[in-house]
Amino acid sequence: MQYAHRPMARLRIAGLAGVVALSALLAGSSVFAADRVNTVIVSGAGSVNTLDPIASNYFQTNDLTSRTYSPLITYDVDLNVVGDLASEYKVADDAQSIAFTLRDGAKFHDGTPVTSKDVAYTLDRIKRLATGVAAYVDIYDSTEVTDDRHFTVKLTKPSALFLTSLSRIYIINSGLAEANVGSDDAQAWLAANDAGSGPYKLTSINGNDVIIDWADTYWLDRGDRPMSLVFRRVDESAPKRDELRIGNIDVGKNIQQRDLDSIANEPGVTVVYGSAPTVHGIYFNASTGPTADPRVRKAIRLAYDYEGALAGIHRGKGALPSGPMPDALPCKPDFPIVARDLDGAKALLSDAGRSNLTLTLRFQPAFEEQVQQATLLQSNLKDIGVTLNLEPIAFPNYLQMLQDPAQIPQMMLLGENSLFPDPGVFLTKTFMTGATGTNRSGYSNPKVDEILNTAIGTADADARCELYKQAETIIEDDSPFMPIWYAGSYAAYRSDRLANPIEGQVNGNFKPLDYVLLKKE
Amino acid sequence: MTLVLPTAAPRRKANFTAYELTVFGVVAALFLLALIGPMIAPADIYTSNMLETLFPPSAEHWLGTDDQGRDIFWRLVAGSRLSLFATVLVVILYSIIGMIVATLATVGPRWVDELLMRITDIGLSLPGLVVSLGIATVLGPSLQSGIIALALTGWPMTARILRTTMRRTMEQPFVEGARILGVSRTRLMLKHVLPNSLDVLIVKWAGDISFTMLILAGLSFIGVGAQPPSPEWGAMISGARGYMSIAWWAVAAPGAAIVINAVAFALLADILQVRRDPSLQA
Amino acid sequence: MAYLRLISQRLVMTVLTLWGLATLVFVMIKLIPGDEAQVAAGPGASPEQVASVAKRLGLDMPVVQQYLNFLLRLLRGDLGTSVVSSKPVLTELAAVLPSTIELMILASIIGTLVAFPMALVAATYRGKAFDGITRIIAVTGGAMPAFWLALMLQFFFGNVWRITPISGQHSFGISSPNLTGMPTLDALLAGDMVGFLDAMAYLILPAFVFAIPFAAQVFRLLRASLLGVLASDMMLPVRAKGASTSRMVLRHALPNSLLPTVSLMGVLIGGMVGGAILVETVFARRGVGSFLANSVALKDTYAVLGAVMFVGIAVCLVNLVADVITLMLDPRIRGAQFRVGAK
Repeated sequence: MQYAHRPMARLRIAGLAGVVALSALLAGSSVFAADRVNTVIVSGAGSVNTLDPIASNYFQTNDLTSRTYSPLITYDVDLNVVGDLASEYKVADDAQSIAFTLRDGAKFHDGTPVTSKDVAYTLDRIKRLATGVAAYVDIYDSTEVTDDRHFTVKLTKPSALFLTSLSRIYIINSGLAEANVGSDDAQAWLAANDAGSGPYKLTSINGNDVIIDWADTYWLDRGDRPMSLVFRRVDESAPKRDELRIGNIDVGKNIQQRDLDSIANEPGVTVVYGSAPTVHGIYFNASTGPTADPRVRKAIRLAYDYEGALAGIHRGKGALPSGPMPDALPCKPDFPIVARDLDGAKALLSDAGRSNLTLTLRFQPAFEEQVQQATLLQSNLKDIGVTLNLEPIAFPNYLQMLQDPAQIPQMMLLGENSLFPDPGVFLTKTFMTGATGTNRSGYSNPKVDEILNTAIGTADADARCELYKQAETIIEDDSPFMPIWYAGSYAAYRSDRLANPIEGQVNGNFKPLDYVLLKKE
Repeated sequence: MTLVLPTAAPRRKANFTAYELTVFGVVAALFLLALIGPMIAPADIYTSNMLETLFPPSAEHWLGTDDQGRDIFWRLVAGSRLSLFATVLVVILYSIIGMIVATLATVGPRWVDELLMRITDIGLSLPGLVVSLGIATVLGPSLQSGIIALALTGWPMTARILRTTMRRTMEQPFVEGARILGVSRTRLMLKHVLPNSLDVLIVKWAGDISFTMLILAGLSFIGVGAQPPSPEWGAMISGARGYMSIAWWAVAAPGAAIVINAVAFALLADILQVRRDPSLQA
Repeated sequence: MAYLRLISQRLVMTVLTLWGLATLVFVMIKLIPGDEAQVAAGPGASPEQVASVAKRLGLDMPVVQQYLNFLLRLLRGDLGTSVVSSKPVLTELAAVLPSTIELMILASIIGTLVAFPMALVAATYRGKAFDGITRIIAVTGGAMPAFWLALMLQFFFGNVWRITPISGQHSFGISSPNLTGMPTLDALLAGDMVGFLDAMAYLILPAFVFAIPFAAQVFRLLRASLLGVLASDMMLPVRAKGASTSRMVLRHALPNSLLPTVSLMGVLIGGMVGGAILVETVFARRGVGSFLANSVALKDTYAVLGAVMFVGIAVCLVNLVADVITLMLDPRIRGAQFRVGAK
């Protein structure tokens, strides 16, 4: 839909070359049509605005770029860091630089080898543009290239977390990008073209379909992986459910829970659940207004019907929350589950001297569950004498408000994702003082800052884990965030064609799910 | 000429057919419902009850419950005031704007008339729903925004029709007489011309209510009109469409309520129109 | 030539209308809360980037200058840039427009095929049961909320009875090469009958949703206009000759009723673009309407206003074409009354 120049160009070609061009194009399309057997169609919601890997902080983009590009490192099933494009890596003792060795024989899709220069180009470009994934690597300083396969990444300050953040930094073919640099550092060109070294290469963008095909340049054998992957945008949930039922799509994403339940028992369709990388909840403005008082925040937490929300809105899938961090992350203390306690809530409010309180909650109307969660909170808060206004907001506008700590919304309903398996990344970006844009509460507690800073400088994983637990305990008590439920990850897929894409795999938030076709008997 | 033409037929007296009386009755009932609806609806239509979500229609819940466990029938009853009165308000607002524009065009100097009518023509050429959508988006989503947006885009047709009628009325002998007697222009306009031109609008109003109700519901459906937990009918459809596949009644019921209202007013408009112009008589 | 003058008058009016719309859109852009440059530069932009965007958009100039620049940009086809996708609104709209046009064409064909015979029969048998029933059907059809009708038809035909596809534009793998952007026409051009029927199956329900109110309005106007002609003085000699009612309707009333009908159809087709906002999203079709609805959902105000401008232009052009056709059909036309009420 966004690539208007294509149809127009085709129109011109057809006008000039007539039948010849027509039949050529037709042949092209029928090859694709005949290969349904080796094609997996994945249908999710939301537009893919760009395929520039710098925008891989955006899920729809990452779904594709994580397959057309490769990062330096990734994770094994136990969430340990392992090399991807890098065959070896070594964090310096002062945690302020990392030495890498590139995999021998790694190639981009155009056949040129992946070199240190490409890595330096990618990281420098991210630093220059300071957008998208730049937030993950904001302490990147420079890359010192030793030779084609050896280089050292230098940081502005010591961090034990930097390495893990590289799993979403996808290496760009610097030759191609420089040839198409334009006036915007190749952003326009990369938006619709592929300069990667991943297992799949971009074949076409056609309306709501983005098609990627297996790249023969990839260092692994295709095995039983599909020849083609089609990512099809369908925003509504019900159509995806029905398309999955009749086999028009193989994997359905962003499907409402009730629709998942209604197909779970269909022949040929399976719905499986995995650990929860996402926590849904409400960020309070912890710096100004009535919500700056922890008693008010705790009162609101005590007023909510968590069980009703999980059962009625999310159909009981997922888990009641215990603590501010999603389930999929390690190092979580055993917090008690918050239960509804209206008397306790009222007592806290009167203690805080807040009667007849009126608050405003922002939510994203595009997400049906958020509308339901918000409506339920509005009804629940009425029971403790709090009036809640609901105000819709779009995510880009919300992000813009966060840029100015004075503008942070009073309450904001969000699904918060963990993108890296180290809890430190999640905790520092969400709860550290001054993490503008990602500290969505404007929360500030010197004690938490101190603990997290110590953790960042601590190389030992177990010691770090203990520090994280301490920080979480303080945060849970301060309640800048009200978790509503942990949403389990799921896969709804055609089990007559595909292997279980969750079992034995790293959570899809941390690494792209590997779609593997069933072996033909 | 011996043939009696239909247009020359004597105006019929107000003896209504059963069909017409039915339509009048339904319209009156709808107004009554809108008036008392919020008073007779129980208070818990705004209260979530997560134990009773998405119940199908039954003796206890005549039209079932929605995703928050609220009774759909009573929400419709309570929402009828919002939906119908907001619609009527829009029509009143743009009629007032239309009247002001038409009056100014009739009374004012020629260049004012020219200018206002060109603006009216521009307004008539624009797609009302699309422009309203733009205005409501800018104002921020709420029922008020929807009402303002529709009032700002709805007036040109009223202004155009009224101006034509006013011009015609101005040429009537009684107006001429009043003017000779020294009645001021403004007084003449307000006391004589405007009231005499209004009967043209009355027919239009019934049709306008039907039409406006559809657009207002449409704005809420897209999300720039009424917001949750409002039981405005368009907003109810918008909220329920996501789970239509397992609870179709939650979409069907508010839609049917809109259809009943819109059809009733459209039939009323049809009847009034036929009474003014009997050549359309079936 | 009299009608050349009328057409040129009409052209001037269209230009004035578009200018009025542009002014309205400009005022709305100025009314949007928040810093225009900050929004246009994107959420992550640095103060320097914001400043450079402000300079590029000329936001540091006086408002009058900004207004003139805005008009100049419009003349160059610049409808602004979507904040969400960072792409020109015009580019995005041009890509999806054919899909909307395809839908509107089929809807008007279906609507016309339904409305004309119904109106002719109703006028011929005026006052009979058929006339009464069709009139009520037409009133009801015109009073259906399009988005609701779309949801209900989709639910029953697609989900329950599974007669039609539920949403989208074509099935997997039967997509023909994208030449015109209209799946049905593309399939025909490629000589692909299977693809054509497939695309038609996806098109038929949305087309019906548009066709129903279209047919209702056309029916009512055509019937009224036929009856008007039948009752007029010019029919007296025909009636005196003893012509049958059906002959009078077909030979005399119909030709004389075509003009207002064509004019109304122009207005209605223009109105369909607005209706597309509600219907295209329900059926998950690409199109101008779903673009607008998406932009509204994402609160992408600049994209919304750009699209409003685009749709306004499209509707004005459709109206212009309808008026020109009316003028050409009717050499007798006098004065400036080209327009029939839209409501």
